[in-house]
Amino acid sequence: MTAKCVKPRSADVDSAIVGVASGEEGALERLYALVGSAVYAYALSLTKNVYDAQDVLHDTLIKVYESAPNYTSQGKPMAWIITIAKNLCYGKFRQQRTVNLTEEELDRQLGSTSNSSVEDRLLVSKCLSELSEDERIAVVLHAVAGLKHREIAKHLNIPLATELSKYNRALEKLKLKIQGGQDEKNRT
Amino acid sequence: MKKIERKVNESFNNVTPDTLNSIRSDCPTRTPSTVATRSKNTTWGWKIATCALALLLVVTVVLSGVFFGKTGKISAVASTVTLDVNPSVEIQLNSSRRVVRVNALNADGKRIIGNMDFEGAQLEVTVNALIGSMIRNKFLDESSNSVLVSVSADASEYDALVGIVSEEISMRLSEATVDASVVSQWLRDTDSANQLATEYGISVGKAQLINKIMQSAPDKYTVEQLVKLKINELNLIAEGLDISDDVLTQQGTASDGKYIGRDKAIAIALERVNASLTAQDVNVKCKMDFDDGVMVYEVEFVYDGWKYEIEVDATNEAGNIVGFEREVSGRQPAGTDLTEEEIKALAFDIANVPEEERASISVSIERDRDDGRTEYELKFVYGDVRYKFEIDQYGNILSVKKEQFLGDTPVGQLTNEQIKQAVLAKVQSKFPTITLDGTREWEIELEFGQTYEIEFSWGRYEFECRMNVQSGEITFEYELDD
Repeated sequence: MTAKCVKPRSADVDSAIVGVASGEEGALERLYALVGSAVYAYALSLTKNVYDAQDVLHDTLIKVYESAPNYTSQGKPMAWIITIAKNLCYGKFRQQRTVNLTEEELDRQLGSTSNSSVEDRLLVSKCLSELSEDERIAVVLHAVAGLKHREIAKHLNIPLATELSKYNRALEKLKLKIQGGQDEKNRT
Repeated sequence: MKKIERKVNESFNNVTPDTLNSIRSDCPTRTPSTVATRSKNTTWGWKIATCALALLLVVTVVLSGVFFGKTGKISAVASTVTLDVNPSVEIQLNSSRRVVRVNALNADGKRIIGNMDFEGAQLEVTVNALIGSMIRNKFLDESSNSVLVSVSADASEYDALVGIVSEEISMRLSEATVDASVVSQWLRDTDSANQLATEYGISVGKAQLINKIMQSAPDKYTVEQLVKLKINELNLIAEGLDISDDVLTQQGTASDGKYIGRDKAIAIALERVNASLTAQDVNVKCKMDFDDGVMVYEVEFVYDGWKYEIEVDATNEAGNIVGFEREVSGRQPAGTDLTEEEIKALAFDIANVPEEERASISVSIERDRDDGRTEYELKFVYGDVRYKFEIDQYGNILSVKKEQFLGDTPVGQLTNEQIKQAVLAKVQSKFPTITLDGTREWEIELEFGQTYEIEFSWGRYEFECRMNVQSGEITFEYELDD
């Protein structure tokens, strides 16, 4: 996927789901382009495993496709999709607890499954290794999936103020780690 | 979007594998019947719903003629959101959550709104701008971080509006590196809140919060005291009372940055009991409260068999102790009955009164029955301290109260006669026929040099009054004696 740096808008996601439900041509592609990264980032944050996250992305989109005809918009389509992804991730944990990978192994897997740069992989690896689970989820759900902080607080079952401070602390931590990682790379 | 946030977004986008083909091939073909399931919905139910919607539309169009403003925009107010800090502003919204108008409810509110025109703006944008203006004008900062959000709306809309507004406030303040504390409440159109708001020129939201605090601790505060406080102070008091319920929620912690701080207050209180005592030695509870017109830290702990409740002036760096109470921690076992003289001797021992001075001290003793045993209340003055003991018939010390004693008459700068006249003038607002001649059993005491405690009787009424030495402010309670 190429970088777009756009958070998906609820109205666009809603319209893509309606398109998918009615069999509209190109609707699935639109939906994938809108939510694919968000679902993958979220699944990666939970499973910390590239292949498991890829499976969850695949299964989530199939599930959304199947459920689309019965979908009723409440203005929060991304929260609905993330809930589907969460249940699939938990299903994976129940089947077999995934093994956490080393940073090197993670970097190798990310490199083999995408055309990403070293910088991209460094940031994603740091996000997975340096942040707590709540911090990772807060960051990807806001920065990638575009969920509102209050939706994330509800998802994590924590007060809004706590979520906000986790989010800001996580971004600060990431900034420092990336800076540190790049300094190290420049020295070698 | 922040730079680091953008990087996160880009990087996760770039590492996402392209699995579209595999998804596409695994998606079951959408058969016409599946699509038909949706069209099946166009049954009688849907037809009726469509007719109802059409009717609603007609009604809306007709009504909108009534509510169209001069600009041609729909100006019907569906809900209101009031923000109180010290500035108070009211945001009126239409049913699409667009701003109809923003009203200043006090002079500070007017200053905050300035020349900004919000008509037709989104709620988020409006709240962001108003909070930004409060930050710029120094009404909100790390030492004053509380915002009261009062929402008047349907129950279904209430949650959504509180969610939007709280998030926007927290976000805007976190940009200014301030952790927000938001008190949100559902505004009920009660007579008492409306009356209070009109009488004191405050918002109905603030009046409702004050009513709530008064209900939680009816004997502790007066309306006159609370209306003068800012939302941050009211929030600090509310935190200590734990008044959250289904129509009022508190998020975050109100800042006590304007005061001496909890740690210092605890240290002062502990030092008073034992100079070598530290917070690690005892289990300390500390909350803020408002007592006799002063913000105080209320420090509670148990040490050496005693339960202490010490109030430390929160506004004074020197940390004056303005309240000191201790009582036995837990009931002591019953023992042999003591005589009144033995109980008096016990109190003198605790007050460190030497044997030779005891005979010259006048002690007032009252007996009472409680929990099946006799309790003695002893009051006397020794040196510049007025003591009040509660001791049971077995010699168990139930409580000890020490107050600074500044002499009988005149007390402070006022004579007893002046105090009586001032108190009567206040009480006459409720009992116009009361005169000094008709009153009896006056008792006037000065507590810690800050408050006069005044008691007197009139007919079958017993009055308890408090007068602040500094401000002269008087509050009173009364009860009918059976």
